Amino acid sequence: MHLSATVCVEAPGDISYRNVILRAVAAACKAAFASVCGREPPADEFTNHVLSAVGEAFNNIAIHCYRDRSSDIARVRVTIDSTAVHLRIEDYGRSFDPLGSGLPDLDALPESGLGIFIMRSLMDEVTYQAGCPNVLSLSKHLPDCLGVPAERAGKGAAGALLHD
Amino acid sequence: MGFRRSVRARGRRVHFFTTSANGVTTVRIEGELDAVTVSELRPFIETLADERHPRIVLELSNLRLIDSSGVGALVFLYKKAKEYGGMVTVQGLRDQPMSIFKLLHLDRVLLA
Repeated sequence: MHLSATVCVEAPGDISYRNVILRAVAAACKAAFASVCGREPPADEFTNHVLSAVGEAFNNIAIHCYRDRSSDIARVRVTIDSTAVHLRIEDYGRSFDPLGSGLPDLDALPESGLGIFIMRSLMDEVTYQAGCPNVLSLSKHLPDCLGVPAERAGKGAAGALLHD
Repeated sequence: MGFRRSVRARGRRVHFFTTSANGVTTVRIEGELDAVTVSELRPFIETLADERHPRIVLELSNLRLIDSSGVGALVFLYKKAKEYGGMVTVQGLRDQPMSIFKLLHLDRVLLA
């Protein structure tokens, strides 16, 4: 077993590659988790949350960052250590800070603007640094691997805002 | 039960079928409904709304994945139906789609 494992996935930042990225990240998570923790990822829900967040992040890259320009690459680096999964998602398009928007009014049943909320809610830490590349960093605590308490997992980076 | 429309083709990640019986239009959506595949479903959803079905049931037990784009299409249908006095409900949700619906509080509005 290793203390941490990192896998990097790179694809054109075009929406047609969304599924390719997600399948690659899912495989990377599984392999890295096995390398660090010596077994399969803890639960489908954990992986689903990570993949949902990455999917929304990739949507933003393809739809907003590379809008009106030829798409460049999107790079996803997955690192798993004994406490968390960390994702570093890079693009070279227009900066689009997911933390710059407020929370949606869910009671109004919005049809758009939900992706960032989903991403922030399902991950425990979300940071963004505009530049070349733009870097979106997402982290989610492992629920039970190596003694990490389950209550640390799944509260979501938007959780504090939601409950204010 | 009258079979109406079906879109299913090899290689597609989303499939949808419509049946009608006793005033209820059931739309079965299977596979993955995301920013890519929603473009296949969207015209179908818009036609359904234009036809002003009084009661629409979205049967999602074989929907494996949904993202914000997919949710947007279903909420669009719900709102359109509400405008003309119709009703849209969802049944069969599980796994990742259920967690997204709960997160967005849509389970309170749409679950049958």
